[in-house]
Amino acid sequence: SEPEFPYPCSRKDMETIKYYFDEETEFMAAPNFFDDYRNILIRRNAVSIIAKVTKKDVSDAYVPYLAMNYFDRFVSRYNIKYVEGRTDTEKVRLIAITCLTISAKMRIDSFSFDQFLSDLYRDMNLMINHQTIMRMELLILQVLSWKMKSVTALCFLNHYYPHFRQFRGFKRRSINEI
Amino acid sequence: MEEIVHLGIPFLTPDQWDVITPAYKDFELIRSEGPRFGDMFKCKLKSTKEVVAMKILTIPEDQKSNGIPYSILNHVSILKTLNHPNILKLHTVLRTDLDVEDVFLVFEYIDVSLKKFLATPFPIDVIKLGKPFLRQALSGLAYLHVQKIIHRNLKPNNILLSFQNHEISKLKLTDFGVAKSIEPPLSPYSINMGNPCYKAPELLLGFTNYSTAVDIWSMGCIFAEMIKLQPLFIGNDGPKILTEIFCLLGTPTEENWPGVASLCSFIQAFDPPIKPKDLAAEFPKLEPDGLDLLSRMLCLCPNSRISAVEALEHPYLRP
Repeated sequence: SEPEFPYPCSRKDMETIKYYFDEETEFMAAPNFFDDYRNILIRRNAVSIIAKVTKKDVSDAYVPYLAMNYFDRFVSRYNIKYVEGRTDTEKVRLIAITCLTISAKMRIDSFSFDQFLSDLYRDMNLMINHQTIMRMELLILQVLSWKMKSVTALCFLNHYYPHFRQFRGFKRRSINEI
Repeated sequence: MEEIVHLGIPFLTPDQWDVITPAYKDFELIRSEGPRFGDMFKCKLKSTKEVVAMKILTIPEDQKSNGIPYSILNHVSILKTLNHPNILKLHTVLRTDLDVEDVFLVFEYIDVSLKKFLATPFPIDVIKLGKPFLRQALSGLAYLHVQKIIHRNLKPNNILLSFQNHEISKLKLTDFGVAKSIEPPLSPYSINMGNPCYKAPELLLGFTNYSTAVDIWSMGCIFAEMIKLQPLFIGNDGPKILTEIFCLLGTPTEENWPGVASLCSFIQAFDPPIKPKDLAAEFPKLEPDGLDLLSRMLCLCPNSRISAVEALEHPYLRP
């Protein structure tokens, strides 16, 4: 078999996959949450904010992905009515941006809050109070019960690499880039 | 340095006091590893009288403007996902309000660490305890490794025990402060954490792409320590430990550790290579199956070292 895509075959690998399958649902939005049209709008809004903020900093594509995972879990478990902000747009923006700062901290060693907030002000003319975002961070951590190491679709990649073999010309690297 | 003595009442700031005294009482410091690692103390939950262990993680001054730092996010996230009879259970996370300065971790309380147990002056039949000890410790490790978490700091201090009728009734792995979950991208891992005496040779040689096998090595050292009743390697820095390892187990060669010479050229300076000692002579009290398992856990090459799942099926540990 090709070394590029080794089959996970040891007992340990299989146990890992089993663990991921068991745990994955806990790291997803609550069931039926996105049946509601309004919730889809909220999510779309968050995606566009996160995409805009991350555009210039694409060093780690997992950061915005993880941020959206936090966002989905948070909004499907907490009534955003109680989030700080005058309008729904402001509330969603605050949640989305805070999710992004948490995921950035999880992935980037040198991430700095102050730098991030001042960039936000410079590039998007968006003024977010330091205290506000810290309070939001604590709320998110609490609602997600501090489980910030999400089991996401990407965890399954090692397991599914072999199945990419049938599409010729795929390299592990290009899959990682997706 | 890491004496576990009863140290009296812990020093708490007024803010810390405000957070924990409404629900907890009877504080008693049980372990002090300096401010960086957080003191551990035991206390009582007022409502149920349950005794719990509490650890305070203080946010370093220079990181306060970043909210909760990665080190704490990582530590707590890992603890939150763990649920296994051989891993110390995290009950609750508390924190100081508004300007968050401290995060408090509330754990179940278990009386003694293996370190303290091994230091007791009473003669105990450790050999008899070896099997149940290893079985429980490895099943906790197997659980961690399946989740792709490396503990990275296993030592007798971080293994808690409780006894019933001279048998181990509970064994819990603890202190996930420097634990790491393996996830892409695989950037070089830090090799600086942990006590050098229990560090795997690949860490001491400076490899940064190590894996769960480093924990198996540490567990091998701990198992050996139980049998010998003294630490297996005692040097106080990496090079000294490495020398001790090579004296006991021989120098690695291209045959038993493919690629080692190209990564660490100084290995070739050992010519002819040091021959491994006979482990049976080193551990006369250990039965042959136990020796075989020990040698597989203390295998120099990380890729050939036995995994926790495999070790649990080793003849020595079969019921």
